[in-house]
Amino acid sequence: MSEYDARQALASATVSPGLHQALANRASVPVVGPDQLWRIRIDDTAMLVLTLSATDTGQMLVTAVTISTAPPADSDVVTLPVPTGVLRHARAWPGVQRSVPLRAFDVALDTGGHLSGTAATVQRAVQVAPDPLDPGLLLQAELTDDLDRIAASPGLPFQQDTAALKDRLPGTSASQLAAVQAALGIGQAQAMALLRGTRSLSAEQAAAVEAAFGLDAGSLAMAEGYPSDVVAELEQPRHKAVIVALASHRRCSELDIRKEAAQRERALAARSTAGTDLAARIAYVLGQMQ
Amino acid sequence: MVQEVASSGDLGGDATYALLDASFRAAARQVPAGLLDPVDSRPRPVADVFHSFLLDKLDVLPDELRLCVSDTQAAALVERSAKYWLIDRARATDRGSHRHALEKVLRGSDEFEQRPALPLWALTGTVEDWAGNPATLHQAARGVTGVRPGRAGNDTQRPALAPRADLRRILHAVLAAAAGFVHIDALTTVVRDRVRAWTAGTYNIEAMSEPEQYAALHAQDRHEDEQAERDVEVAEAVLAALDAHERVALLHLHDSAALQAALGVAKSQASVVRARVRTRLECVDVTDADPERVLELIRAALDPEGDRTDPLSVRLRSLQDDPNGSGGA
Repeated sequence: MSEYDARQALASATVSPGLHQALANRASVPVVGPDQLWRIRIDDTAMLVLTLSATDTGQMLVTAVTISTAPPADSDVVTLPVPTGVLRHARAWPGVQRSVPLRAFDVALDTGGHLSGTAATVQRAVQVAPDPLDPGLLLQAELTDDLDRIAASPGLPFQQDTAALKDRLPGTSASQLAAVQAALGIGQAQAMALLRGTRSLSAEQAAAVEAAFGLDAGSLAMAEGYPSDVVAELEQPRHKAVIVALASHRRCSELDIRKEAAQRERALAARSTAGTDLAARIAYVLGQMQ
Repeated sequence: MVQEVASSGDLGGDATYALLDASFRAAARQVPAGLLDPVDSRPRPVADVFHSFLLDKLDVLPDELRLCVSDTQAAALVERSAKYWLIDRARATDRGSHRHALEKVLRGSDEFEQRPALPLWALTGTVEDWAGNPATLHQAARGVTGVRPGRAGNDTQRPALAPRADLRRILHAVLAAAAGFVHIDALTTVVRDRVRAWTAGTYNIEAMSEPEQYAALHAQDRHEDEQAERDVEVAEAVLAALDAHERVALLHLHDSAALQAALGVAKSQASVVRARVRTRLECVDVTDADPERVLELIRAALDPEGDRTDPLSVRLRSLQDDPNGSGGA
């Protein structure tokens, strides 16, 4: 086969009509639920997934789906065909599952009833005890690492509660005061304001206090955090297309766009009187940013 | 490329062809050239193999590329798809030869018998068909010690799987463990897997950092030259059991972050490579070797800045060029 013939063959190779339609028809974004085929992405990392079930933390358990990549012929790694009409060929990898935040869900490719029960089939798929030398394990690990990267993408910091810092730290009032002063190198008045909650910690201060008290990273609310309902709204897939377009246009990350949108929404909420709800304000500020 | 496919809906554009071509060549560089298409033992141009890949994937590539969000992602996806396609192709062509070699061994010995007109083999006197876990067969094969690497007769010939006597011993052990008739394809898989991790005996790499446990193995009055030679042999055996990726991993088995950095991969891939290295090393005999000296030799041989004139490096150079010495993906 010559290069000319190869190019002719490529010119005749077209995207499946179902996929063409799914990508063209993105006006209404469905609610993420089980038995759906999605493209998920964060910035330039993207992959296909089949949704399995919602998790307690508001994320979605998914399994990786590939189109042209298959385990080597002599591998025992199990894959299952996904019964979708949108793609000509799709196989799910039951061995590659992760919980993914909603902010990663980009394009709903197939949410039809014909996928019903596919998630259960994937979860029932028996994984043979892996032989460490199985030639498919490395490929499966590559997909797992891709999914990990998307699952670990940072979200907006959010204000976890309204409790004052003194209620979140161990020890007596006196020991808390001394430790906060020492950790942050600030005076007693500033430390008291932080402990009572009349002032908020910056990100650097929160990290220093967490380290001083042996708390988990990110466990303390901080000034840069946003109300959880704002964060949740900005993570909805219905805003994803606009956020991705803005990030691409400005050559920045999706997180940067969400931060700016959250800041604008807060400013708008502070100025506005009654009449607009949160979803409308978010849609408005994203529209303004375009 | 992403915009080209999105606007035209097909793969006919120049940017698309260029990306497919470059990604395929990047994948091909990761597969030993001699294995690309050894059906007739004549090398084929990479372009020919690339066109075969395109034809094979013509129905799935448009959807794959249309869903990519950037050219970088598309290139990575095509490279991954091509790499495993090439590996499959190389295995498929090798497999035929290896299966044939095993059938010759099986036919040539009275201790094996074939079910009439079927590709099923067992130890003589067996009645049942085997229907167990393949892991049992792999385990039995790995228990066979003293397997030597196969050698090619000349530069254009594919190396033999292993010496005939060694193949017979592996087949005997596997079929004894199976206690039933096993399909020749399953036998081929098991034997190929075993032979990639050739050498003799059993050893656990974990113990390499605990020399006191193995001190008793050292003969106190061993002559220094003999000891040094044995250490080189063991170091060679350790490295021969591993492919290039696994050799790099060998020096970082106990440090996950360093392992990921050395391999340039994330944790799941590093974990798979580490498990693979440990499994392969279980087949290496280190009897009478000085574990610390062996590790030192291995470090020196793998050091890119090294002078490469130490005995192990010299002996390894021939191995590096031998596709049979590679564990494969």
